[in-house]
Amino acid sequence: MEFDDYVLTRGDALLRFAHVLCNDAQRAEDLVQEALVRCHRRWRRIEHGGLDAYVRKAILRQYLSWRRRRSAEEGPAGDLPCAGGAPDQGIEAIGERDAMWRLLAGLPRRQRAVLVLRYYEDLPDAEIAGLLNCSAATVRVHAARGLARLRRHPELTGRAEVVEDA
Amino acid sequence: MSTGGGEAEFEAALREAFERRGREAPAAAGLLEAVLARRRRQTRHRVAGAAVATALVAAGTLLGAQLLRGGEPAGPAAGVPAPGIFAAEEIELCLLPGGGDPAEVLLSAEVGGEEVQTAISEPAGDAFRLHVERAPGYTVRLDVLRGSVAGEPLDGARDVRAGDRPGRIGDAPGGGRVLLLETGTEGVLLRLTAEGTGPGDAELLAWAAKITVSTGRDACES
Repeated sequence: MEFDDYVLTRGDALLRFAHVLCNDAQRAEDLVQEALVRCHRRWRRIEHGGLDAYVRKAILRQYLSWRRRRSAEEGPAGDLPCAGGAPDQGIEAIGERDAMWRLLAGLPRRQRAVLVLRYYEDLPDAEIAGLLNCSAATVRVHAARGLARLRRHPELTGRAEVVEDA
Repeated sequence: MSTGGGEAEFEAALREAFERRGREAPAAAGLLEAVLARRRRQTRHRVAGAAVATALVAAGTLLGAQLLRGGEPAGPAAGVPAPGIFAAEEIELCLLPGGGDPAEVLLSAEVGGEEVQTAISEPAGDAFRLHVERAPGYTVRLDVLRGSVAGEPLDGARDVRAGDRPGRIGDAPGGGRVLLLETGTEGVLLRLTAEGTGPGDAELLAWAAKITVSTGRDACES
């Protein structure tokens, strides 16, 4: 698949993945753009059966890079329209969502990345290990610690109980 | 969670939260154009950077051969290609302070399209051992250490400059050719150590000229 076709067909999914990872629309654009620029340089050499994994790994590398922990090296080029728009949930639901995201945002990046790959991308631990350059056991440790940290928090425990009681 | 069955509910809530966030992501309209524009900007930047680096390497090689060796013919290892991270256009170091001293030292360099990154938060003695490049016949080690360029023992040392960074080069008492350079932070210096039949002084200086040093989190991450 040509680079242009790949970006046109997979761009939305990549941006969704980056947005779930970093929880910021502008940073998501930045992560995806930078990852794609790096992939573009070696597009012909990437095994095309593994394009998604390769690009996802490039996005993860950008996300986990210490140089980008606080601010982006280069802002995204151009303003992309936001597809999601304002949420239509009630104020209470927005409050619960914000609580969830505040807690997720407080997780160490690797723990958060593991949870996103496992629960958003539905990847098995072995594949997550390949993307993060670590062992499957390390993935399980990150996941267990991240989940434990979320569960311990009263705000999210309350939110889970609401879901359970519904 | 109030029951054992809450595990699945908890995970479902997590999935739902991720899905919802995914739906709020920016749309990809204009993404391709933005990527290609960014690529063009970076290419222009790299071309300009490469020209400067080439000029620095050439100047370093000529000056090094003439000044540092005092007119002696270049050694057998002169002209060795830069190994590993030293082949990068730029090697970025970041000193994150803690209690007046660096508490963490970060290294970043892009080699062959891949980014090499190291973060050292535990010094070994007075040195942060950042990177060792192993090439056939020699190794080059890059450390950040506490101390002063003048205070480190070197045999037959000379004053040198790598780019705009002053320093000294000489033989370590324990063996190896050592280049010490100021970092711009008092009491903290860079050390390149070449062991084996490795690069000459000119190569060491040219490679060291690629190193940029930032201090403090704001400077490092901007």
